Amino acid sequence: MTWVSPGHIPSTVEDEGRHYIMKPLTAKGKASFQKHATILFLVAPAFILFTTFVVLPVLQSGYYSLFQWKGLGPLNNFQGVGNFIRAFKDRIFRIALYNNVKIVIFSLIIQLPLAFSFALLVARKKYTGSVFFRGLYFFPYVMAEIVIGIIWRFIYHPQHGLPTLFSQWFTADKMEIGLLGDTNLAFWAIFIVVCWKYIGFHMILYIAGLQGVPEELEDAAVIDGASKVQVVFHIIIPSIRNTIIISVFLCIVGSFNLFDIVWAMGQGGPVHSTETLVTYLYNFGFKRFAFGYGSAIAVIIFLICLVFNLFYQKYIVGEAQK
Amino acid sequence: MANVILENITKVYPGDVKAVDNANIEIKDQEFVVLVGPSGCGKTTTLRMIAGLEEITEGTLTIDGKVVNDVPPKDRDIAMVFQNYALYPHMTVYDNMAFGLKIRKFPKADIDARVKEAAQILSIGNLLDRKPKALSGGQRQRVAVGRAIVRHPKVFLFDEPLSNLDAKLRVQMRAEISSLHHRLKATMVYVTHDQVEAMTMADKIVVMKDGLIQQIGGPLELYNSPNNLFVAGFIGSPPMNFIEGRVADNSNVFDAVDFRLPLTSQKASLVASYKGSPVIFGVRPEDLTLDPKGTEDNAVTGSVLVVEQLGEQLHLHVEMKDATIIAKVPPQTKVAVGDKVFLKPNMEKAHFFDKETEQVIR
Amino acid sequence: MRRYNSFRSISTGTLKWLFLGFFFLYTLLPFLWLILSSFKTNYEFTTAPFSFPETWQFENYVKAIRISGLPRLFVNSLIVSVGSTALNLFVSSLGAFVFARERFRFQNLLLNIIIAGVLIPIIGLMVPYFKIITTLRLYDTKLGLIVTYAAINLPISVFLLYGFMKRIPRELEEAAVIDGCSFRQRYSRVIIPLSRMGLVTAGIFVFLYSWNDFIYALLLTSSVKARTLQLGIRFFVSQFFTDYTAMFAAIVITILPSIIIYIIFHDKIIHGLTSGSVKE
Repeated sequence: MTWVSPGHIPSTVEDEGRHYIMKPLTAKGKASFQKHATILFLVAPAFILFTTFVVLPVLQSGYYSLFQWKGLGPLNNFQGVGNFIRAFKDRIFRIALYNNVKIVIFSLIIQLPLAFSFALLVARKKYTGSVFFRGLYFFPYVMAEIVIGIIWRFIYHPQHGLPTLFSQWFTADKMEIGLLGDTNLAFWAIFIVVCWKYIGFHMILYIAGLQGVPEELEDAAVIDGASKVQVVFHIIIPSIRNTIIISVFLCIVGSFNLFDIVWAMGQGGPVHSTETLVTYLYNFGFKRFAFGYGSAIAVIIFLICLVFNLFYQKYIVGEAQK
Repeated sequence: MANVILENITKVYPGDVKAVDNANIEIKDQEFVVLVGPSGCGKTTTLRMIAGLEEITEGTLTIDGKVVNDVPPKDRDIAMVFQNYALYPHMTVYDNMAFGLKIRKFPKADIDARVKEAAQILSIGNLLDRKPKALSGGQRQRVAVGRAIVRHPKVFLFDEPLSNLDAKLRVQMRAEISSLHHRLKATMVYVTHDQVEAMTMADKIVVMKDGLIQQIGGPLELYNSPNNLFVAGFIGSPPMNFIEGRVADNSNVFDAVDFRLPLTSQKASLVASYKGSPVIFGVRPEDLTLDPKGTEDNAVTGSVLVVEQLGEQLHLHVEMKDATIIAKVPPQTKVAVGDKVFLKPNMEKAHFFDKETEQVIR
Repeated sequence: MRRYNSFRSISTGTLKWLFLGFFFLYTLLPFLWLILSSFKTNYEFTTAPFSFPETWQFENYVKAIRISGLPRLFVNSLIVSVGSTALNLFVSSLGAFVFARERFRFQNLLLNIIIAGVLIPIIGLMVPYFKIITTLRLYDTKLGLIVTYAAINLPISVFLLYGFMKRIPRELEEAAVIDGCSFRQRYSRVIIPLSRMGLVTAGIFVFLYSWNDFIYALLLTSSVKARTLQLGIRFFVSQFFTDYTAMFAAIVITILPSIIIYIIFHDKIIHGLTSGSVKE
């Protein structure tokens, strides 16, 4: 689970030439040295932590990915791009990649439009209920994915779960429905949970965007004769364009980082049918001490995310700077 | 209390931007000096250099006889009132005023006495427990001033302190700061872009433009004998009227093509060396009078564009071929838009400026 | 803030209520089902999953605590989450302060590198993290998790706090300088108190991340001495075997802190999440 949020997606920071306070007020060279020493001292902890746990691991991943390595001993079994070729030749890796892509696509055509519709419905204060709805839909987002996974595993329980229960209402005989045990249905069962967790999050994003759209704009459009649907498509959607791009971006990157829920609901099974890239990395890289191979999978995940980051930077940051 | 002397002060920002160029200002003990000019003229930079918030590139700054170029702000014994008040939002009014004293480790009783005294002077005693967020603009302004007062500094610095207040409050606070000055008998340096504040409050005004000091003098001095076109146009409202023309060959007539103005002998001798050359004629709106018997040969001639009735006077905007001028006339004057009018200037109070250098001709 | 309310009649009508109602159930049902089940007997759970319990079985909770070793997991989680939040805020607030309020060489470059860390899919770093933590001899320790969580969230915190501190008017700090504040006093008496909102927001994010994280707890610990709640949960299924309702009680206990934090801070969470996206 990543806590990346739109507020936290950085665009390049630029100094707008403001004046700073701490400046040499005594003999210049000495003061400048002292100042830089102080600054160094204060930034050092952040930088050490950052280098050790973010920069270094990324570089290590890239390096390890070129070797066949069990995690112990020297790295001497150089593979070049062998690990990458092996991955793409592996049917299960392709299933994992395919599942991730499926999650992205169906999130984009089901989850986000639903979240947007909710936002339209509850972004208004008019009903007393809307604040409650907002709070409720968003709550799953702050819950641990592993807990969500466990809860839903029991909701899908073949004997005592809700699908089985509902089926009893419609058919006379007691039929057991084990969604998570069915290689065709398990993916959809998990997808329902992913939506359950993230719809509220995207809804909150859209609400924030909608609240930034001046009401006058819509009033003007209505006076110009626009229908409700036209207002949505011609006024509201263009006005919250950036929010939509952010939401799409987070949805895509989030999908490629999916692990806990999938792991909790079947560890990628049954028969690897719900494997995602990260569960694949865990199951086939980490768990089997194939650290070199696992690192290659990590690099693939990085590269995929990087591509979308670049798109994002181009569209959001590029637009913002115009 | 102390004097402040700026000697050849220059401020250059990175990228060779000269914000203040060779400024020389002498601020006497207990004097109220106003730095005034349009935005970007260097007045705030000058004030910030006095405060120590801005490094001095060149020159010498002396406070109370001591060179303070390299003295940090806290040791300069100055206090400053900021444009946005800069009240600490997480502290109460009392703590805001007491903060500087606490940092300087004043005894508690002393702090309390000073805060109470300042609160009483500014009549904000009932607000001491509030946070700045719960105050109106005017109240915040008082607290900001109070924070400066409690310190009993050698010099008070004000950076456009009234610009965030509405017009009515501004007039009131203007008077209060003036009376505070008399009461505290302190040296005060005040920055504003509003010439009315400068005129009403200052003992001495420093007019700046593009980093250069244009003129230093008392309010009336600047009003009556501006050094150049800029000062003439900046001080006074509505501003001085300027009309381009040339000194006629016989040097006793100002020729503005559409009309001519005969010069008094004193003015004529002043502009004698400009015979046949272009000059700018300047006259204040109140020094123009409607003359029904005027002609193109002895009065400013044009047609009325706008009539503004202010009650105590009437502003006539008169359009000429390539300028519009304003005249202040008695409120009962009967004129209509489109009328052709003749305005007779008080030539004693007229000014002539060199068109090239824009300096006044004396 | 002015609410969005001019969008009148598209949403009126039964369709809208059906829509909202369906998703209302979709969101609420799992919670409702979980909480109700946690108070039932196992017999009731299997025969009447949606009825209210005939008698509220509070002993499920007693059993849950006894069987699962919840208190220990809970304390571990709390230590890890509080520790990583404190470490993270300390380190990132110092860094953010310097980045936001001072000027020095390579400032923008360094800052951009740090906050670009937000975009790195940390979850892919399993192998290096395992190596680093074992090399530092922090494997299977709470300190190992504390340092890891604090570091993972560093880019986010620096970015958030930087944003907050950058917005503090420069004049306030100048007033502090004139009031006689030293460098340290400016940090401790002006900037930190004024960044309280930012610290709270960043703190909640780090805390929730640490509290909810599963994968690094799974990777970097092995024994019960550093086991966190989320990791402990995966053993519930085997621990409780067929005593489902006691297990549900245990799960309810694990999500209580999230619910409490959410109820208290949901405004700040939402604000923190959306602060960057509204600037259209």
